[in-house]
Amino acid sequence: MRRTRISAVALLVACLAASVGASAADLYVIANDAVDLQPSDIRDVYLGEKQFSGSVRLHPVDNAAAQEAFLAKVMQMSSTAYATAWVKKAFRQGLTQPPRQANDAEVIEFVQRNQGAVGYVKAAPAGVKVLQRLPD
Amino acid sequence: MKSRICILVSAALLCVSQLPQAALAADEDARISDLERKLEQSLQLIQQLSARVKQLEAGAAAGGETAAAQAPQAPQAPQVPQAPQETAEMHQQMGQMGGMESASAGVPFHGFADVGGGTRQGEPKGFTTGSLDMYLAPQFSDRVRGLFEALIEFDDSGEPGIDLERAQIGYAFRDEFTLWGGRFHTPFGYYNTAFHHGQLMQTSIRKPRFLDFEDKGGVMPSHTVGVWATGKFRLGESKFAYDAFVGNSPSIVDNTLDMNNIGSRNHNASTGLNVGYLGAGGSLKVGGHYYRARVADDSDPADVTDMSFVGPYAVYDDGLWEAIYEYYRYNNDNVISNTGAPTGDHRSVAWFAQLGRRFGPWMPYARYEKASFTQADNYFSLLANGRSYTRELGGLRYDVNPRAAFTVELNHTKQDDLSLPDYNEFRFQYAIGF
Repeated sequence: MRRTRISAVALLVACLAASVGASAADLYVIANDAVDLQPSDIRDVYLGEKQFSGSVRLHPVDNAAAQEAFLAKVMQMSSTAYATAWVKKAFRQGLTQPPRQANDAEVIEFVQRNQGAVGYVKAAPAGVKVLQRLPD
Repeated sequence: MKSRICILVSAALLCVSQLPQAALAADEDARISDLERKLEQSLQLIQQLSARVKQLEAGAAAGGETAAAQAPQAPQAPQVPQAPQETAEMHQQMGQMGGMESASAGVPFHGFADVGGGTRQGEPKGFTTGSLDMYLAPQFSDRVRGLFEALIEFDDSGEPGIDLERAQIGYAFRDEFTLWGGRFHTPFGYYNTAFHHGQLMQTSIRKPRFLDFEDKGGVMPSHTVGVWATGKFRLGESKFAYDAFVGNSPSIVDNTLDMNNIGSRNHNASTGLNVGYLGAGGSLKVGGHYYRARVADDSDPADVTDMSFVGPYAVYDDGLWEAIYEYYRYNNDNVISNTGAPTGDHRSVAWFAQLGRRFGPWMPYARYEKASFTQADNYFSLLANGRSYTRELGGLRYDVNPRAAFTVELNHTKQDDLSLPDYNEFRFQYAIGF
């Protein structure tokens, strides 16, 4: 009986540890309330292929603290390929690469403040619309 | 009695002793209330100033005028009682102008530059200064943007020159429809609008010869002055892209194509259409193009040719492999001919295929080009480089980083018309982007 209890407790602790680890590596794509996008649109937004959500001009913003994970999970490209894509995009269509904020707090502030803003953060955000949660 | 007196005196003394404390307590309450009030005012002031700073930061890049216009308003900050309302209004206004906040974050200034050298049979050899290509991409609002590109380079005689290669202003109605006006790169095929003048952008040093820019002896109308509609439609996982344009018909001046920047000299329009299918996550583009124009030269009387071409193209670039194929079939009609060439239709063909593969920063590549230009066609015979040729080209590119690359390239060019000599050429180049 005691052994069973110990096993159950160990299992619970392991589950909790696993869940904590997973949430730590989650990624949340967020947007201003005025933005209406599908998860399938996010890649296009960050490549300058999609510039409008209805009549609202989109303003994607990169997050230096989470960019590597975002590029791997959503864009499925390396940071070099992403930079190269934007060099070409800017030259061909006159578009500008998304500005880069330093961390979650700055991204959330940018998204709250700018109509059409889209960003991504590592921690579950409050007060902004979550377009997509990307588990580890 | 004595005890009563003592009690009264004690009570009196006690009361007297408590008076200062009560007074002090009252003073303390008032002081705390005062401090709380001041703290509240300070917080409101901080909020107001923070909002003002953000607003000024957002507007600063828009120009000194904006900043100067807003600066005198700063002294209004001490109007503390209105601060919360003002701050809320500012946030509201900034939310409404959210797009402008990003848009006015400065005018992006970018460019490309290259240096290099090489040797070619019968030509000067050694180092060359290359070119400096600068472009501005101002965003005037959420929907209005511009693209201005100026190229500084040396001509064949070594004289520096500056050309305004692109000067276009666009209005984005929606993702599927942007309208540009001005001077733009004619959207035929893939190469002409994909790589422009930035040497860093294209894998090879040399463009396909028949796609060279007009002032480099190219036979294609690489630039158009007019209006251009472009956009993409989503088709499930794929996309459909289109370009449609109308502009001034080019002329042939001094055996060089002139896109007529200040109006068509022969009062004719050029028109064109380019449609494409994008698949494989954007790695694949397959499409077709059509172009027509009435081209007159500068002789008197002028030779006039109805020029048109049509053809398919295909591009695959998945970050590892790069493959480009373009085909042009010309059907030109000598409408007025004073050169001795017969009037009527003349067919010509030009195409190229290029293949490259990336191995980390290295990328070997090869290209084959072939142009068969009928010399009875006044359009080609009047252009300095309108001669048939074949070219085999190979090279190796090393990407130092996304904004710098070193390339070496070798080509053999066989010229088929007018007994022009064949030649070999070696070139090297270091190109950057900023």
